[in-house]
Amino acid sequence: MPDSISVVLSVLGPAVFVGVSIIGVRMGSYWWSFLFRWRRYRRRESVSTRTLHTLEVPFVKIQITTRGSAGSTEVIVRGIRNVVALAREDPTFYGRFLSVEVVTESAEQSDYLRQAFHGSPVPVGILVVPQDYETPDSTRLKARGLHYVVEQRRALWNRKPGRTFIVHYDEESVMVPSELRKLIGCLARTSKQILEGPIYYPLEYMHASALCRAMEANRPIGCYECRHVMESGAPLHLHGSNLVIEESLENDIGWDIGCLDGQPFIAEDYVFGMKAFTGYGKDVFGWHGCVMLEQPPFSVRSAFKQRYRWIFGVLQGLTAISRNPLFAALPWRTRTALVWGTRYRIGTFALGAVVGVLSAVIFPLFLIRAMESLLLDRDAPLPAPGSAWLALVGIMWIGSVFIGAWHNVAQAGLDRLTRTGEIARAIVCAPVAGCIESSAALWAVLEWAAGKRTVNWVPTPKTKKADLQSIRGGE
Amino acid sequence: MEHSTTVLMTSAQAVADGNFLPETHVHPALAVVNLPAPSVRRLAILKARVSCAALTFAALVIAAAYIFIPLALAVHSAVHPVLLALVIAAAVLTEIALIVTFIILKTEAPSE
Repeated sequence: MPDSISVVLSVLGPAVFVGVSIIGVRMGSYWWSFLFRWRRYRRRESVSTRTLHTLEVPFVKIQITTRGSAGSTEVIVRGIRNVVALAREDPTFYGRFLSVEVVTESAEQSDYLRQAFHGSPVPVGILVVPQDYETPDSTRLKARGLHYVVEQRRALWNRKPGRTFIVHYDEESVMVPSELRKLIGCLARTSKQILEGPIYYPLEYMHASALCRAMEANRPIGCYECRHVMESGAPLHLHGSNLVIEESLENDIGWDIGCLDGQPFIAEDYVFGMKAFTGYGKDVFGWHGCVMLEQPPFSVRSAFKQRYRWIFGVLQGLTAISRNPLFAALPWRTRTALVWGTRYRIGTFALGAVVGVLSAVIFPLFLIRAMESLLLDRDAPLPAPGSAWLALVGIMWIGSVFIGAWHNVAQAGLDRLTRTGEIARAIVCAPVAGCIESSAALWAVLEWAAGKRTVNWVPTPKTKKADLQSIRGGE
Repeated sequence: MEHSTTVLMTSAQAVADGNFLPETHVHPALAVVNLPAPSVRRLAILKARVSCAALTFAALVIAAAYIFIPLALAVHSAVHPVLLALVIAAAVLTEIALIVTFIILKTEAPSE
């Protein structure tokens, strides 16, 4: 038996160690931003309405782009009501520069929202994307709706006489009034044209499955690095919500991103970021540091599909950008950094599944050997630097789950005991949750490598009921 | 006997069903909910405490497996007595945990 353990350790051990190390280096970049640049991450000083009165505030349009699918109306209403709550603090002041624009494919949803926010202190404009609308480059899915608004704005719809920012929301996004005030204060002072901020996932927290909650705990640590990405101006990723774009720039670039070999893009945000970078350089990018709240997917199935879409979408975007003549004109070093930087991110995400499965076999054996070494003074299964490196990667991994879970539960409306339990639960579920989400990434990579190119846009269900319907319907 | 209290509302479905308007200057949205009688609450609190303790213990086991044991093994190669190696590893991890907690608290937005 001990011999067979040695064989397994000697065969699989080096492979797992290399895999863990590749992922560990990636985590190191998150932790570098977390440990040494955290002061630049959030805007901690609160901004009052009185302070905003003293600033030259820009016009701010909050844009919610939706397909109008089941369950989306409730979450959209929640997001808008928080904007209305801010406006109620000083209706005349906020009504002057703040507005909400909902872009939907559902006429029924449009009627409901018009009625719900009739007479609201901030104007709530609804645009219904006509069924027969086509962009010049035949863009489809979410980017089609986004480009429809751009065309309306180019035709002076809801035009404002001055500097204007578009704050992009997903259907379920919420910014509480205090964060909205900070954001407006930041936009009044910034010279940047594309800004992002952190996203946490406390909404509907206890309605999501425990594994989904654990998966979402992996995400906030990425926001610390997202700040670095945005401030350095190399858009290795750009998320479509909590994305703030100056209207003039968005009108210039547009969202008419076309298709890739006849298939629509599902990561329009990534493609937009690359277009902005190739067309306007790195100086347009910035970080506003104001938190947006969103919700985890309700079921593992939805979470798996969501992760699959992210990776598949970025693979599409990478291919498209490589064919872009503006991208080809960039210096070789910049191109390599962008392409291989993105590939490295995707690779480590997908590699997590392989390492996770192999670790499930090898790690118990390693632990047995380690305990024998510690307690019975036998040979160590790894040299000291190897063990130290494994411990460091372990700290970064478990630590990132701890940080993410903390940020997520902090605003989930839970008591202290439940918050503590939920942070612990995220750590307990982390090995399985990590494997599941990495396997979605791996599946996307394998399908892409096998030549699959077809996509469809089925937004993650936003209510438990819609999620159950989606599962029963086999979507 | 039922008690009423005010809680943070994060459920979109309840927002839609309740048709309430947020009146927040501090929190996103507020709603009134009913809490059960004290004896049921006491039981629920006890259950929550036991659950929290069990989860915390399980999380510590996971952290020990992935962090503490490899670190103790590395320290043990330099410091021979096992107990001392364990103490040093625990001390290092405590320091790191404190740093991480400090940064998280600093990056949490202060409540208004």
